[in-house]
Amino acid sequence: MKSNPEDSLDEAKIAALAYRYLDRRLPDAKRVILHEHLRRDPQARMTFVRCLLQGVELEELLSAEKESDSSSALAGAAAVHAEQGDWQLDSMAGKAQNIDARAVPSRRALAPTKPPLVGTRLFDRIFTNDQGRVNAPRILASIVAAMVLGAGLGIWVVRNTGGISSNSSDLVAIDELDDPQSEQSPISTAVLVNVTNCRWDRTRSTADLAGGGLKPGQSLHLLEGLAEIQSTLTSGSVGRFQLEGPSAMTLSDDGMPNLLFGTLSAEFSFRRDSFRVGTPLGEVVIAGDSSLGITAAADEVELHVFSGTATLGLWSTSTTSNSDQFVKADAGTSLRVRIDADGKISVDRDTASENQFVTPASLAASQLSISDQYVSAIRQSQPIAYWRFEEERDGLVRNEVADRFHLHLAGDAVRLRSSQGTRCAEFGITAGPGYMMTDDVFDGVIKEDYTVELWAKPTCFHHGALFSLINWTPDVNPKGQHRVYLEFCGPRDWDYQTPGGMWESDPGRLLFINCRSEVFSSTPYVVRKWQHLVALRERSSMRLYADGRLILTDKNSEQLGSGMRVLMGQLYPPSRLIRDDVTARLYSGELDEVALYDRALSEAEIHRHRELIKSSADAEPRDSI
Amino acid sequence: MSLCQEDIIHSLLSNRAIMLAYIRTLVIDRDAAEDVHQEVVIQALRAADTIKDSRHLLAWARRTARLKSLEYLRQKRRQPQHLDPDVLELLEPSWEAESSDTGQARAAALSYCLGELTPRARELVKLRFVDHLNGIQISNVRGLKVQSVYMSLSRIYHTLENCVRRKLTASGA
Repeated sequence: MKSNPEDSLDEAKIAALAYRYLDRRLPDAKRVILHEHLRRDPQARMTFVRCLLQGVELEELLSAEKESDSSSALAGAAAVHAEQGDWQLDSMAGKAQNIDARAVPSRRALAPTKPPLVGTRLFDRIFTNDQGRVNAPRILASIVAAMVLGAGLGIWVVRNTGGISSNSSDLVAIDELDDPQSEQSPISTAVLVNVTNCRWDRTRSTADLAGGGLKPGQSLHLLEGLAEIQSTLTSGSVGRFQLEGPSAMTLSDDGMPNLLFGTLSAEFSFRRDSFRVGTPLGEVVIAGDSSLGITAAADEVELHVFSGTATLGLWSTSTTSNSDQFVKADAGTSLRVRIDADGKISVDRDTASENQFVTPASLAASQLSISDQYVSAIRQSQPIAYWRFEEERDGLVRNEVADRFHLHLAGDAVRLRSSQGTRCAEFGITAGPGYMMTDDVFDGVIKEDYTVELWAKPTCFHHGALFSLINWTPDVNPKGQHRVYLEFCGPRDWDYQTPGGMWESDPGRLLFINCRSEVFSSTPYVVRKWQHLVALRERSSMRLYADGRLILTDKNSEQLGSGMRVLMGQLYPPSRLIRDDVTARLYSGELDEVALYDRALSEAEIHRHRELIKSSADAEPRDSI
Repeated sequence: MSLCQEDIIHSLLSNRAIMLAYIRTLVIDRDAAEDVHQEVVIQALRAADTIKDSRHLLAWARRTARLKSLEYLRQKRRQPQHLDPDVLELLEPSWEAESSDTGQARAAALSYCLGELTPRARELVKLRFVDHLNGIQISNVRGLKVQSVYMSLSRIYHTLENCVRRKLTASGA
């Protein structure tokens, strides 16, 4: 890079600076150079603008192709090369089609493309006037809906490019740079590309958790949360692995995960070779575009194949023979392999269960359909606050029943997202904090009895703070200030180190705290499925209901006191008085229709509210841990 | 004389990519740009009566996008990391020059031109624009120097841009 701004920068270098700028990887010196050239060179300005424009056009075009289930430009490109006798079909085409055929990604953490924030709600906002009448023709609405859904232009284009044909004589080669590094033989690599609420066992993990690059022999011990790893083979084949805590893996010499225990799901996009994933009982070999899930323990492995095929090569357990056994599993089937105390191996076959794993399809399976009847029923029950998360305005989510107790959104990890024609709150979309909190306090509003009613869909088993009433102001240390607290517990028994020793949790249960009473639910919660939760206190009794069933009851007659605010999404509000990145209990999942009452709802009301919403995809929840 | 809502939608639809790119220069973040863009669309439809013509609309939309972007950065309490204000001003004519009704033709040409890339270049395109990896992540995945990744991307840009312009010229768009 020439450092003298008087020198002219060619188009490629301006473009390189533009990409760095978008990545926030522009060192000060380069920033100065970019500024100077943009100030004095009209051509540089044009290049900068066109580079940014082309980037967006490519994103729109390629994401539209993924969604349109038509042959993609990459697929088309590969096809062109194949037709022309080029060496092989590009695996990216297959990957795009494979993803299309399965599911719509629902979480940014898992699928980097953000699902559109608006659907029919934006339609309503644009085309409905204050009296609720539609302002514009329906066809217009469709166009705008398509546009804001992020697919419109791209899809139009994809469907209208049939007239353009390729010409082999026009082929342009993009060579790697003269840089000697680029001439090196590529090696298999693995990189940690995404983490969601990950808590690592840092004493046992040898991988560089901060840098993200994984080297052969290194290990990852994940206590809780989701980690996404991408492995790329020398051929360009790509495997994406989702590790769900608690899990542990090492990285093999060829860049493949070796799952020691826990849960892993994976998607593979192939060129011409195979992926091998190690387990305690054998090696899973995958040799075609496919997706699967694996659970592993010392003496048992389950392999679920969602698309494509996989073969489990079992290690030999015989002292007289070295011959391994190979068991094949096709799409939609699963294998459960156990090794008994006498060394015998048993293999059971069943259907594949995608709900057990964090995949785009399992995350999208359970949808919440809110009816007008439900909303009316809640209003008839006269909550003091009702947050529907339909709209964020000026950083606030409004309380639907009064002009106070509005929630303000804070942090990058929370947003509102569209689902089934309505919107809900989604937490844990980035690794950092994200919460919602009221600025008003509930003094004089809640005296003794109360009810918190909500719908929640946790992404995985983890410690996630759903809802709390906390007596807090910014100059007060928030520790010990909770009056009411509702939490999803993590997947392990012994968990957090506290000044009083290890805090014992009840894995997979719900924790309900009322003042000094801490009680765990008798049954586990369900991951990746919407569930109706009601926590209440009535006179001297505290109770918790899940989907209309009573799962917790205890005695408590303590007064809540004053100064309480609502906090959702994490244990503590940010405070200069604590540095608590271990017990922040960031919630990862979705939340909707939160209502707070100044009385105890009756069982009849709870059942009626539950029955008014039928959560889809009820089948096959993962209800045990 | 003002634009009707259909005209506004047509114009914003044709210029969606350039509006998003414009907003990205301010907020950088892709998702945030989407959010700001949605707000601009809504505002434009509400302000339909006051918008004279398509050119006026796009200038208005950029100005609104700029305000909304700054508002977004304030709300999120993020330090603006965008270009200096005087440089942003200097870029305005370039954004205006790129605004047109040829968005569909450009995208069609771009779709074609992707087919002309080598497999390795296409893979870089996929990592960058489908998987949304940044330069460092791509360098980790591909085992390249970070600088090499950025230069490769810039060469891809150059090739695609030349190809697109060739195709547009040939088709008279």
